Amino acid sequence: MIVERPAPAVETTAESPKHRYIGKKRRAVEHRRFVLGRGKFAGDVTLPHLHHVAIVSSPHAHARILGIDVSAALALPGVLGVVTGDELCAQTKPLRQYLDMPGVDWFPLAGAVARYAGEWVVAVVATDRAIAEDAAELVEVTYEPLPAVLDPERAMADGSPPVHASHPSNVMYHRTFVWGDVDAHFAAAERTLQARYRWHRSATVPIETFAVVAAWDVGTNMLDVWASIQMPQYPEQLATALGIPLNGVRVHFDVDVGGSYGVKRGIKHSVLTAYLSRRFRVPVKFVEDRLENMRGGDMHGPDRIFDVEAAFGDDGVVRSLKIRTIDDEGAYPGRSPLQMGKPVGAIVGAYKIASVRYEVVAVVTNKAGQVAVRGFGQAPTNFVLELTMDRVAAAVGIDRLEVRRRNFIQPQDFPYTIPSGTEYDSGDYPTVLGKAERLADVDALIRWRDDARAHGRVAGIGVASCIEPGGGNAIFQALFNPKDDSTTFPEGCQVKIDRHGTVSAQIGVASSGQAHETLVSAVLGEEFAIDPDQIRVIHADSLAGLPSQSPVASRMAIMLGDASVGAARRLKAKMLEIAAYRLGMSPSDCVWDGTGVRRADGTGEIVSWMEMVRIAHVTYHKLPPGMDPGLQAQFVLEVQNSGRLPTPDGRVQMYPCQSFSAHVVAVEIDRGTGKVSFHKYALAHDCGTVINPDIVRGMVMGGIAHGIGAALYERFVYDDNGQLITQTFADYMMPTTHEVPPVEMVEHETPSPLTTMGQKGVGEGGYMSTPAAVVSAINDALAPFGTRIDHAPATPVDLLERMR
Amino acid sequence: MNDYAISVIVNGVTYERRIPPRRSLVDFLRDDLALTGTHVGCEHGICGACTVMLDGVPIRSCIVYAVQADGASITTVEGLSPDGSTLTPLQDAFVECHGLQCGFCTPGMLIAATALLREKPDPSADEIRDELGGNICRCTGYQQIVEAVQLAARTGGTR
Amino acid sequence: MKPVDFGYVRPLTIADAVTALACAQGEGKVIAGGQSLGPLLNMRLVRPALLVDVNALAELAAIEEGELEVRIGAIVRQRGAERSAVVAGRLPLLAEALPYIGHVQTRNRGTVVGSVVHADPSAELPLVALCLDAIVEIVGPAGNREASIPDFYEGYLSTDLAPDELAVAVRFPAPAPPSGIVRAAAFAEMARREGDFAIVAAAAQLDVDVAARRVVDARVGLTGVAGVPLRFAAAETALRNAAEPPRVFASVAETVSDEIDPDSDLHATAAYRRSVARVLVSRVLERAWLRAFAGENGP
Repeated sequence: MIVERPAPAVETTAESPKHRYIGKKRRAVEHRRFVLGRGKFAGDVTLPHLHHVAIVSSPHAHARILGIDVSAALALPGVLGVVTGDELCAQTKPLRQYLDMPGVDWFPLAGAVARYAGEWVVAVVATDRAIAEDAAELVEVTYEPLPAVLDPERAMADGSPPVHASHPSNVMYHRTFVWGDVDAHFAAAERTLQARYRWHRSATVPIETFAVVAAWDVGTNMLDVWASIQMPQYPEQLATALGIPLNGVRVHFDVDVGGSYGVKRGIKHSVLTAYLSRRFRVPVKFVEDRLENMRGGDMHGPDRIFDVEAAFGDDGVVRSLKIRTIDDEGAYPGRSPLQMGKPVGAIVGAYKIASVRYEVVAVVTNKAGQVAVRGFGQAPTNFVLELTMDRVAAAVGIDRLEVRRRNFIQPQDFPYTIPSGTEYDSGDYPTVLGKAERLADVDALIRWRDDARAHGRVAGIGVASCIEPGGGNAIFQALFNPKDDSTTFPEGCQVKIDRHGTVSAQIGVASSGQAHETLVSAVLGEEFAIDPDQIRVIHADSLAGLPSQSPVASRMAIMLGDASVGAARRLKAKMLEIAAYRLGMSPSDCVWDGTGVRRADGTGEIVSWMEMVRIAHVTYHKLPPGMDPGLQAQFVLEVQNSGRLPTPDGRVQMYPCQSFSAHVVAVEIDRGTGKVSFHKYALAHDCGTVINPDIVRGMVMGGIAHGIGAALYERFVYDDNGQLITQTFADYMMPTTHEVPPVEMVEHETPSPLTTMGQKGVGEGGYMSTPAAVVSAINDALAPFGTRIDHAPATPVDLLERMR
Repeated sequence: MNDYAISVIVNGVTYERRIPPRRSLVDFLRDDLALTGTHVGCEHGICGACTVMLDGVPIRSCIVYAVQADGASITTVEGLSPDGSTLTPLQDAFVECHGLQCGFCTPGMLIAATALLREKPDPSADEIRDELGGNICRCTGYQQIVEAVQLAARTGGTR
Repeated sequence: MKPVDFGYVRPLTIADAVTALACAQGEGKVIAGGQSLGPLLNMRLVRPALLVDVNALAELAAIEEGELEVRIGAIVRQRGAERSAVVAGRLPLLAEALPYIGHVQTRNRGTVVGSVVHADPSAELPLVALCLDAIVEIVGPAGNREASIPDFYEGYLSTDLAPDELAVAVRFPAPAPPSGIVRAAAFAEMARREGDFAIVAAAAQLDVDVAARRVVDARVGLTGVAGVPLRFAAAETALRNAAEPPRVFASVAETVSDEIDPDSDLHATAAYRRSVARVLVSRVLERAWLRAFAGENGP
């Protein structure tokens, strides 16, 4: 069977004159409503008789719940009801987790045992949020504290207190992949090195917390949901957890999401809120407050220890890598362990490394759960890869840029299959790195650094490159769980041309800042040769819309873009047929000319857009016999180069398209305080054909800002009692205008051969490269002190200690 | 506690309401007046998403209580554009420069930047960064926001 | 994150404010700018029965310049002080410190007196008040009284202000320096991000006899290194006694860092604080000294 997909680009280049709108500056259509204050966020949704939720959470890192007295809370005027974990666990199915972990169940409220400080235990529903909080204070929970384990390596050891008593070990997944002849390559190598790295727990922390409004309609037995969600299979998981038919769940995706970057996956919030609505027969709104979000929102990101060995030659060419990673998942692993799976698809970065041993350990501790964070686990992995390349350079005494050049996969090598089985589609890494070098003016930076050092200052230059896989599929599910044979990860778009000839498209996702309406209208405008600003794009609800997997995995330019192209081309084919019939020609003898159709030889009249529209909608007698009336088409696209299960040794085609970037950074460290400031931040970036330059640039800049946060500022810190002590924005430090420097960027376009326009993904690369680039610069600055940093974030305390 | 009667002018319209004293100004604007353009990000005065003008001065409306605004005049993002649909030069510049992505911090940014441009019609990039230092954006990395404010300064400030 | 239910009054006179506080029987809380109190209220870490809003006490809205002092009323905003020519001219150290407080929007609302009275050991203004020998004017049921800093500060977030008392103003002594003497100040702060509370901040104000290259009066203090801001008498004496002051800046800074006994916390270790204290004291001394000769922020 042939999988149908729109034909890829042929010789697409940035300068290609055939593009009217693609690659051109164009304002995002979404922005108007936002600057007018007319966005519609989930927290803005209101309904008659709306009630509100407050949460009682566990003060203990690990405790048995002996009893809950809700009588005082229930007696408070304005309180509609109180639900405990016991009730919720009995009445709903466990939330979906992706590893095969018998005995490890996750519910929105803790049942018999609370497993981290901040875990939700009781929910209160009241007429307003303040009253709900008053009542929450009146709930009396009796706890019996249990031993807690906070350190992941201690949690792995024999005799550790179990986080889940029904699971024999805190290790929830442990597998070693070997791709290629690692032992032989290590045995033959002139040099080896080993290093330990630590990526501390942080997340992308959107300014909007998770918000959800759920309304159960007893008349129709339907659940309506408005939520700030960015998550594949959200309606499905709601239906499953609540035990209701999927066609009884209607998720409204015409909700603006106030930032996500992966983390807006409030399935537990949503199941809870939906349950409360059904239980108390009122619409219920739950907007996490910032403390509930930070402590109990289960939105922390990867928390990893890496042990890395590299085998390389005196020439700095790396032959083989051994990477062991331990990920501290917190109490409920959910989907987060798969964040060690996605890096399999770029496990050698941009380098021609012949073999890899990759050992992954997912361990639970008494901390909040993790969720997907920008890059889905690859930011920490790339951090380690790039710092290891710096170590290789230092070991052989070769410039760090040169070591990268020597190891790069070369332009002529594509498509290139890395040891773990993923084929990279295209790229030109040496050229992009060269552009970054020139933009940053590396020679001038070296002079600046050396001059600063000569004057007793501490300065350094950093470099990092990064493969950014885009397109997304869920194949890491099958990779990490043999019981999961998911291989499909489609995206759909429906396009209609109405009786007035105007074009509208339906997409089945909510957007969290990615400007999907702008994307789809640009692509359709290009296909139809009409002004994109005249095209309306709406976010269908989950019952009306086509299959969608949400805007994860830097996939929408690739997937939604090409699904839109596919639907447009189906419509154009139908219209061509209508016009050909009207001209008395065969469709194969007619062509599109602007917005009309004419004979392929260019002679004769043009059948106009409006004439074709009128035939399709009004004058059935002019329609080719047997053709359906109207102008509508849909296209559901399966991910390019996907659909296959992993091999038994874990080789897998992860994402289809590989973007690339190279960052050059110069920093100065205050010798007296350890504070880092930026002297220069420059990068070259290649995400294939650029559809909207401002949007691409914005994605990269935003990712860099997140990366600076992860590199220098942001960390969820637990104290020895398992209390999160960075739960406000005064302590969890996100970069402001002062901490994010001006960034210079140059674009390079190596089109993907797999996509219609040559486009690739762009959402995550900035975040994947920046921590490595910044710490690389810090390490260069620290080199005169004979010391280095191997963790993130690198704090002033860390740096001052090393400059002693 | 007893509700408290207040009268406030918001975006030129006088509203009289009875509210509990503990209601924050932002909750009042959003829940009592249905002016949902002002957003709640942290409720502890750090992120700046709730920035509004109170008697012409940008403040954080999550740590001002609505009773305190009795008799005051407030401007929210909905009131920047005189007719609610024609963009001000600043709003237009944010759109033009892609100075936003998800739009959640944007109302606070616009209020803060409007105040800046009233005071300094031609601010430097550093002055813009200073003024907006209390408004956290997680999408943009700030660069296109700074560019938008600079463009607005060139195209007409807050007119 | 909603406060507990509380009552609210907005008195128009100081007397009414004091009466309201008295009626609250210790459960009243004064709100002026609310930039510190608001978060504490929203997190229910402060649970008043009555909020007494002093923002309508128009008589407390002024910065009054006297011959020997500057009096700042309880509802003068930090931003107002930042823009005040009187503050710039007479209180160079306060002028130096104000931009370090939070962000523009918090300074638009937050008050000078509120910050002095809140007594956060990592805040800027308590340190300034300490260095300038400021006096807090207090009105309570028993009448008016004054409290001098440092006696006013009792410990972490703790002062000798009683729950039924209202701080109506802070007076900052600002006698004109004698002829030939230049007053110069400097403030330096290490915070993780700009606008955050200080991990360590240092303040220095030097009255310099420019012709003789001597320090005739020195104020040196630190915040972030103890439960209250600290001043260093021995260091100040050493500066006054120094024949060539810049030569002793390093040893003064060293002495100061030996004298402190900071704690470790989330943001920094004790050793870090000690080390940074030394660096910042050295920097503010150098900067103030240079400014005295540049005439930059002296009168």
